Amino acid sequence: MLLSVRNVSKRFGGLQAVKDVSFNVEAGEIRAIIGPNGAGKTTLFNMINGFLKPDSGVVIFDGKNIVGLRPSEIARMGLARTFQIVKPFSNLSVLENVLAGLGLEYYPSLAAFHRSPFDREHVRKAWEILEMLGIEKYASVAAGTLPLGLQRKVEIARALALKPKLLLLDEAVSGLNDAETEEMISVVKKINQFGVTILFIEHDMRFTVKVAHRITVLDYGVKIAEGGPEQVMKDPKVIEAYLGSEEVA
Amino acid sequence: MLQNIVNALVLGSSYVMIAVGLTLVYGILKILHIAHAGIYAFGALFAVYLYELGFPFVVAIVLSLVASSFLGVFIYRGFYKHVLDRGRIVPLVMSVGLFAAMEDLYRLAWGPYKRPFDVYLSLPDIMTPNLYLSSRGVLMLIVTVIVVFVLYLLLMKTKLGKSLRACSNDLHLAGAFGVNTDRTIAYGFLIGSCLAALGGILVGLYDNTVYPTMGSVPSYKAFVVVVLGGFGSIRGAVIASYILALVETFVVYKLGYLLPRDAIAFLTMIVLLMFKPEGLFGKVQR
Amino acid sequence: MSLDYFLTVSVFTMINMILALSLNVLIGYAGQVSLGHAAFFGIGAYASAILTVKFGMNYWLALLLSVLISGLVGLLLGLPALRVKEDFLVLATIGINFVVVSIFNYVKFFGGPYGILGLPRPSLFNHAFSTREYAIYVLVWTILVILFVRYLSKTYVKLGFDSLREDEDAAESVGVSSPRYKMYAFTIAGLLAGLAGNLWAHYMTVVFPDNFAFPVSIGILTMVVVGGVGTLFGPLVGAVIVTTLPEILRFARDYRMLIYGLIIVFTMFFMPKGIVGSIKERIYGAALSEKRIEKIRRVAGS
Repeated sequence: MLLSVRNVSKRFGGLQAVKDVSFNVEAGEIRAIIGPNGAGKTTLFNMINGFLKPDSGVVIFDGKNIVGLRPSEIARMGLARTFQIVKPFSNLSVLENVLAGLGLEYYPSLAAFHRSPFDREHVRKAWEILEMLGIEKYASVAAGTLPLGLQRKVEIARALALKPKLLLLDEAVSGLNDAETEEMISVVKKINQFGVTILFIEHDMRFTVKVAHRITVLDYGVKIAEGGPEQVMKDPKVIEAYLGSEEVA
Repeated sequence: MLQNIVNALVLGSSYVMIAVGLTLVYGILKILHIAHAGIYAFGALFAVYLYELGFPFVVAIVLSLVASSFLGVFIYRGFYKHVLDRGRIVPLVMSVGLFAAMEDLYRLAWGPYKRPFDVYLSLPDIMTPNLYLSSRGVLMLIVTVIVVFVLYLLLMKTKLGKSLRACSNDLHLAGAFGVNTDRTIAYGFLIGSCLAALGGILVGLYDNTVYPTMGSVPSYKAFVVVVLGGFGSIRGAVIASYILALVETFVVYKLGYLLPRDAIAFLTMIVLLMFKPEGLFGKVQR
Repeated sequence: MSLDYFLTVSVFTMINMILALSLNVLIGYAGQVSLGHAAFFGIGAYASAILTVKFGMNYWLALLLSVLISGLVGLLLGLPALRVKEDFLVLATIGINFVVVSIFNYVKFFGGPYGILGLPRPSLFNHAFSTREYAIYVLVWTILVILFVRYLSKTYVKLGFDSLREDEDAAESVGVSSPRYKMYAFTIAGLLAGLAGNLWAHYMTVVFPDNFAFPVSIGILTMVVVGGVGTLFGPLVGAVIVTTLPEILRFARDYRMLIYGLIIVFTMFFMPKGIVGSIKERIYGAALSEKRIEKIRRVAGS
């Protein structure tokens, strides 16, 4: 079990965003978290990643309870993340974005003061990652000027530079067209084949069903279903949750 | 003790004027409109200038308020508007530049020295054994109450007020709903600058002195008031103004020998900024 | 134009270069908008003044200590920066500038408004530096600072700063601890500005509180902004322009703040990236570091 979320809850003022949610993610799997808008999915991610602290419950990653740790510390443990509203380093080139990710091992120590991002070894590694995602020809372009689909790839490339054990993808195909979505399917599968466990939030059902090994469903902050894609898609509770909020698969 | 409280009330009232004006601007545009201090000073200096030229007192004030209001709108339309899309640093730095230029212009126009605002007010002083409040202080309190009340009416009962509140809440959303954001913002600057100038005039009267750099310290404090009160919250700004004035008065009363009054005020603010960055009532801005 | 005059202008320019570079690390690299930079400048100057004049310390030791003290103060002043974001930070730094100057003005130990007088020139082998020698001394330091900043800009610390500036959350997610890197930025800025303070103080041999007030912070900001925020040469160019402009336009001395203000406003309007930044943009366009990428591609052999 790579990630174990146990009885996690979070309240914002009057709103209970996440209530007593538990699930486990096995190493090597591709796991989806779905649910109508406002179901608490991104809040959940923020709690796993360290941007928010759960009111109660624990998050065990790689055997350690990571509640209360800074996001940068959690990143060092091997957990990478992309964001729902894409956050590249806009004024840096695509290559520099990935190089920034490669700096993970240096940032906390004095090594940051004498290692250079642009030495041969780093550039080569960064280049490999860019090639894996097919964006190496944008290497010198400012990340902020790229279209959304490419920016998402840059974010993923940057996350991969951390050599993560677990990658959190927050709505990776939101805003992408059909062709780009298809491409993302093969990207995600390829990353998984390299040994990266993937946990993703998604609204796009086609993508989810084609990619996920298992799916966990949230509604109003509560887990309502869990299982393989076939099983979950037929679950009446899931269908009701989606119909009730006018989501169309 | 009572004297301290009354002094704090007067001080707080001066903050209210600037802070409320600032909230109208900052709350919508989220720019640290540092040049607001310049308008505060302009209001006072211009009013004194007109008065010394021979205009009747009330006329001088009204003219100054009008001029200041337009100055505020001019700063928005002529300067800020064009750089809103360039990130947060650019408008901020521009505001700093404007402020520096404005203060120097005042110095060149009207000299760097302090000048009095010699006007006879036909209001009574309040003089009891426990308490002294000059007629000008009385004026300040009365005007502040009236202004806050009028502002409340404006914001709650008029269409413009609704637009202002909408824009302050979420500018893009307001625009999407058909609010003419540019015009609303301009009005925000108009009203806000008018208030700032009024504040400057009242303080100029109360202290009986005006000078080019009179804006710096009060508006810095006003900023902190806006922060403490929570951005975009007029009610918060008003309450925070008085709270800050009270804290300042009493801290100075106790510790005034250590450092000059303003330094203490600033230190208090910095500490408050550190420990309550979301303000006393406002929401956290990420 | 006498040699002495020329040397003085040069010394001022070089000290301003150091100041501008230090503020650039804070604003341009790490994205921490600080409008009270003159405070660090002042702390370095006053610390050295106190150590040499009131405690009779040897210049070189005072130099070391005063720079360290500024760095320490920078570190401490970085603490509010951790809890306080963006606009609040700007306000806090302005306030700190004000408080520091008030302390210099009010507290008797610092000499009050009459400042501290009689600072010694540095001396080597019992010979106190003449103006000419001091100028060379300052030049040496300036070059060292430039080399240091240049070195820094090629390390992972710079990329950490860039990440922090671009997007604090994303930076955290790639392992950049924002408290740590903000502290780094403030400390480095404090150290360098403190050095500038020391060099200034011992050149002038007197320090006054007003030398470090808010208008001075505006001056430093102008240099960085006009030259080009975030670039290496920008602050240097900005320092030269801002220092020599009042000299060239002799009549304009009295209008200094007005001119600074107008320069800032115009730059923000027409050249928000500053002179150097705009030139770079002209050459490289949206393809940043294209030249560098090409070079690396060749080196990496892909």
